[in-house]
Amino acid sequence: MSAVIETKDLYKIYKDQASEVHAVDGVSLCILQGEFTAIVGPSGSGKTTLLNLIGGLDTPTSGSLFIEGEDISRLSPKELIDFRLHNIGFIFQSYNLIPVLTAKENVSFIMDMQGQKRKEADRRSLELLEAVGLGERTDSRPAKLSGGQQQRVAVARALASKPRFILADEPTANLDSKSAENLLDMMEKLNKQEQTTFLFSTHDPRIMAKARRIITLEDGRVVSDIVK
Amino acid sequence: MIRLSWRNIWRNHRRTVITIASVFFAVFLSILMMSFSNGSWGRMIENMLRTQTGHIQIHLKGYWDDQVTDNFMEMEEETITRLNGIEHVVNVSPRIETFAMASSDYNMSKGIAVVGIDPVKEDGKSSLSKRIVTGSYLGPADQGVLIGKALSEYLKVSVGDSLALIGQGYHGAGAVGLYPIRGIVSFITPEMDKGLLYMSLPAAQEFISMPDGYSGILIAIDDGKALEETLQKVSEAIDTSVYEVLSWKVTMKDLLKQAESDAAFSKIILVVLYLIVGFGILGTVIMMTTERRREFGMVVALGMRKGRLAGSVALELFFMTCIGLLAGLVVSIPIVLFFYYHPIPIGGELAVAMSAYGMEAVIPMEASPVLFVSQVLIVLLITSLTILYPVRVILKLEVNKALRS
Repeated sequence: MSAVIETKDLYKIYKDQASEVHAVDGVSLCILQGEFTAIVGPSGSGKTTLLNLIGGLDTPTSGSLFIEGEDISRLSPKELIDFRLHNIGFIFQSYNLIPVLTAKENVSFIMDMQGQKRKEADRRSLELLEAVGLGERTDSRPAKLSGGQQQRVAVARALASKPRFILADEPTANLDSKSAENLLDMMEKLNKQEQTTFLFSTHDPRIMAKARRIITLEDGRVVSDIVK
Repeated sequence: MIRLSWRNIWRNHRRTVITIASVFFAVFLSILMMSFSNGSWGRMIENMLRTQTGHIQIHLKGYWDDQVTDNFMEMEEETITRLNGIEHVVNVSPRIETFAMASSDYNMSKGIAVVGIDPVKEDGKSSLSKRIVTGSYLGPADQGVLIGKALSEYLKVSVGDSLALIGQGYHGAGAVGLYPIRGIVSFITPEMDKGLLYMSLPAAQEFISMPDGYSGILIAIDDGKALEETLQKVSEAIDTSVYEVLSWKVTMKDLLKQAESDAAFSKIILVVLYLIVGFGILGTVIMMTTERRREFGMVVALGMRKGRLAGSVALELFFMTCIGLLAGLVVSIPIVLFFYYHPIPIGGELAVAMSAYGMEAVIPMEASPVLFVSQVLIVLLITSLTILYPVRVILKLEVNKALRS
């Protein structure tokens, strides 16, 4: 398996006049193609910061960050946006769907931005919504969907751009346990069937139970890295 | 992007309605206000020019700067006929304007303005005969005079009495004459009522000892917009090395200034209106930008370029502006056109006085395309300025912070 994500001595340091906070403190790790990995740790341990760095949403203070061999810490902000569009799928804690678009339009939104043809984008959106179990709700707007259904649309949206990996920041945090179970089963299935790489930041024991690799952070440092 | 922008404007109906209403009222009120202001001033100036001073005046070169009898002019009848034939010219009135001391039998005297007119042409232009309160109007070569009611009371004279006039004639000649009063006229302004005397042009020419002389020739035209074109044609019809041709903008500088200062005041009110509307729109734009900061962060995180996102938000405001502009035009154009074709009538004594001067006692609205286009462009500019706020916020957006907001 090839490395999809590789970090070397990655630091993110926040400074103010009085102190210096090492949110990510020299993290070196390698995520391989097809992994189903959870980054865990207490609040403030640096999970979300690490995920933001890997996702190109934030820039490291020092260190290198390679996505399939490309050092994205050297990309300009504009190049980073384009890189995210074509390489990374995001699933956010609070779904973050565009409220004025239907489920299908939310999914095809990414493909529209990629410049794909409308017909092809519509076809793939329907396929993806079918795959996440929302084939009947393609024309519903987010407000008409439950939290679990919205997060499924977010998963379909994350997959729409055919990304190299998907970053999911606390994806089950706002879901009831049944919806969370369903969502996780679905993501696990996608991971196994499509070899889609998932990297979670989570507190949720259900994700930890399903993850095949668990990286534990404390004070911005990797304190354990267990492959089940 | 168009679909996204269009749908976004309807996600908060109340805010959208406020923004559209702001644009609507800005366009509607500014068009109505400017149309009314321009229309009323335009009509007032047009009335004044048509009935009193003419749109164009011809004098001997140098007369306007030094208005003395020695600078009076002569012009061949053939040239005056040619001026009458110029397109848009509706009235060519040679006249004499000079000053004299008027004295009555009651040892009363007063310095007055003496105006020599062609009684027929003047009546056709300003309906002077309608303002006679006692006595009769002047005949074509009448040797009598018409005076204002206040002047007759001051000099204690009435119709049938005579006035002695003493003034300055052409080339140093004395101007002296005894003139019977044919009629008493009621003038609209007190200054004219107590200080103006009309006599026929031949009588005035005799008075100043200049048989074919005029102080100037007043030309009225049928279309104020054709002023420059007519001015050019008049200049071509006469010898401009001898005569000066002046538009009303020179001869009626005070009126023009008054109109301009009124227009300036209207513009100040408009600027206040634009500011209120502009800040109203800006308020809703700031609210919208703040509420959607997280969403902006999310779409940039997903891969939408900031420029494209800013364009999408600008498009939302453009849509709302267009709806407001269209609504403003749809409502204001019929109102303006209605009052353009059916001007607001003026009532009371002013209406009577205006009619007596041959003026239509109405306040029309201006219905010029320039008025509509200029107001639309100004409102578009205001909304374009408010667009700068979300555009700036988006371009400076820090995605991770926006996602946490």
